[in-house]
Amino acid sequence: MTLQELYFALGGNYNDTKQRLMNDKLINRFLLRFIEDTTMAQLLDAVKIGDRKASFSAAHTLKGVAGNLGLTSLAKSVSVLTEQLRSLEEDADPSLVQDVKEKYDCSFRAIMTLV
Amino acid sequence: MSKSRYTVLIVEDNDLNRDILATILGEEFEILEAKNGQEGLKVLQENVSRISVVLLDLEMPIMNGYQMLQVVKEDELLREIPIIVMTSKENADEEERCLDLGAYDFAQKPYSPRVVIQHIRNIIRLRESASTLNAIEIEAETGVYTRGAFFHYADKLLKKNPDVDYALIMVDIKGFSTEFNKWGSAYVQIIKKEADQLRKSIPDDAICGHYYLERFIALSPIINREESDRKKVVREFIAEIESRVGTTLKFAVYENISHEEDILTSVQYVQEALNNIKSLYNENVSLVDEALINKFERRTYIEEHMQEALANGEIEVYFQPKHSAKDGKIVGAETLMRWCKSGIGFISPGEFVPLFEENGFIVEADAFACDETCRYLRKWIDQGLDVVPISVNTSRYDYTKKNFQNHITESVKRYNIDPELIHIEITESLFQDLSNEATEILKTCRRLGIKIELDDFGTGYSSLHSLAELPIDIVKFDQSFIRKLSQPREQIVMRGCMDIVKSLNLHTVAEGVETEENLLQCIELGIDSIQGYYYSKPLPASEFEKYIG
Repeated sequence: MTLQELYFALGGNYNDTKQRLMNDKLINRFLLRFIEDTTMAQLLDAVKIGDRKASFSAAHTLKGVAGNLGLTSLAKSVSVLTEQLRSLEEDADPSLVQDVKEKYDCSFRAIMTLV
Repeated sequence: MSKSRYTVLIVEDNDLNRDILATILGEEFEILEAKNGQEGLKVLQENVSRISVVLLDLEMPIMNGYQMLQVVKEDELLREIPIIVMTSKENADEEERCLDLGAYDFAQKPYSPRVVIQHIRNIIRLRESASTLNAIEIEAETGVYTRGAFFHYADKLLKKNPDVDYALIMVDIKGFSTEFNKWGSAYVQIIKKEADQLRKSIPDDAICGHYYLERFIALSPIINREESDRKKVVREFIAEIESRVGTTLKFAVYENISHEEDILTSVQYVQEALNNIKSLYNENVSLVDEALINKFERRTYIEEHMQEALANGEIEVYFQPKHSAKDGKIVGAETLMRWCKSGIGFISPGEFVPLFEENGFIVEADAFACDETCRYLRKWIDQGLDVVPISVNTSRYDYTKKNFQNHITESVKRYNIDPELIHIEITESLFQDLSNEATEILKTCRRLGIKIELDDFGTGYSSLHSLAELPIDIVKFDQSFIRKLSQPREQIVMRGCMDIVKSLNLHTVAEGVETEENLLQCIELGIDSIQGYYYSKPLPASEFEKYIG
């Protein structure tokens, strides 16, 4: 899969990402770093034990990471979750978490094809 | 593009996000990185003179971006450095709050490093063309540089003249701030007149600043090389001023300060030198020398590494046996801490324990030592060894924590140890400020069966009164006492003490017994237990295990 195809499949914006991250080589490098990034695991852990503050913090970070990598669809999904959590007044909405998880898994699988 | 000489500090907790920025910005700038506000502040402090711009994320663990902005805002020097805050567009009040905290500019997430680079270039250009320092460089009341301005110009001066030797001088004018509050400008007039007088005796290109309250600071090229007795020169100088102004002055001087090192580091040294003589009425000059710097650096090292040393096992517990004076059998031990660092070697408890007491870390260290003691006791009991009661040290700071007795009783519970196997060592200084609270805590421990030992008896703080007042079971005579037992007068005092202690039904321990002569003197006095090199030095757990095995 080319990067262009990958971004298309994931509902991301390749052109915008390339403009921001300079070139394909760097995009490739940062996408591979995404596989090692533990923020998603931290988010799921925090949600599981009901730690609202940690859930918000992880969601917020994941939003930033996804945004920076141009994974727009994931970024949007996690952004909704982040806003739901921001006030710290309620636990994470399971359906939002599920949506984030699906988008994340999709991205993860697609990026794995680059390895 | 070749790298510019500008340095950018990136403060962002996520490794990947930070890597993206660092990689792309790294093509044009020198990059420093930090994972949270606390780390960011540390890097900022250490590199204050070379960081041009800070890029700051808001949401971070330990210390977030807002908290970091707050600290920077309150620091006269740090707030000179422009901070670009990285925000997301959904959150408009973020920006308002950041502006309020002194943020200089914003960059939108997701990062567009090219745009960020352009922001940074603009800021640097603007600040270089305009005079970038705060509008207030000269303090109106005193006529010298403000603290921030002093640092700035001192740094410039040192960089501009790498071949000139400079001295950094800090002066403490006793009562300056109170007198100033009382007399206002009239008082300053006197000081100013004095300062003008002084001006004539110092080189033209020396600079002066108001450090804070009663402390002033100056950086001056060194001119009078011939005079060998530096202190004498300064003392005469001080005496002359004091006779006219009627207040006390103290000077700290750091000659030949480093041009490479950050000026803030040098300031810390003179500050330390001044602090060293602050309470000495008969000394008014203090020079920064190698010994002071070493001590300061070691202290900084200890303070920066104590946490990890405790976590990674560099700090270990050792056990020093106590033996029965009657038959020489082992009857107990004391837990002591040892800090061994590869590359640096052995850091003496005599050095780190007082420091821990100063900065409060002793509370964690004591809890650690107690927990380790219980852990080993459990291990040895499980191995079927004949264990003896072991005493753990406590400091007065332990007793300011409400949960103190928890740390001992919890360890005892966790490892299922008979409380009679644990003794607590206390010093009398503990009771000077907190007696009620501490007494209650100790009484609770005693009810559980834990014995209380009064440590260092016979040194500075001992009062006979405390023997009657304190809830104690055992008195430990300090080694300074024991080592002088060959002197008849010491013996008489010691006999008297023993009479009192025995009448109170207290058990006795002698510390620091090194020779057979020492031992015989202790036996003759009727002391119950003996601790010291005569029997054994403090042993690591593995050797102590063999010792009781």
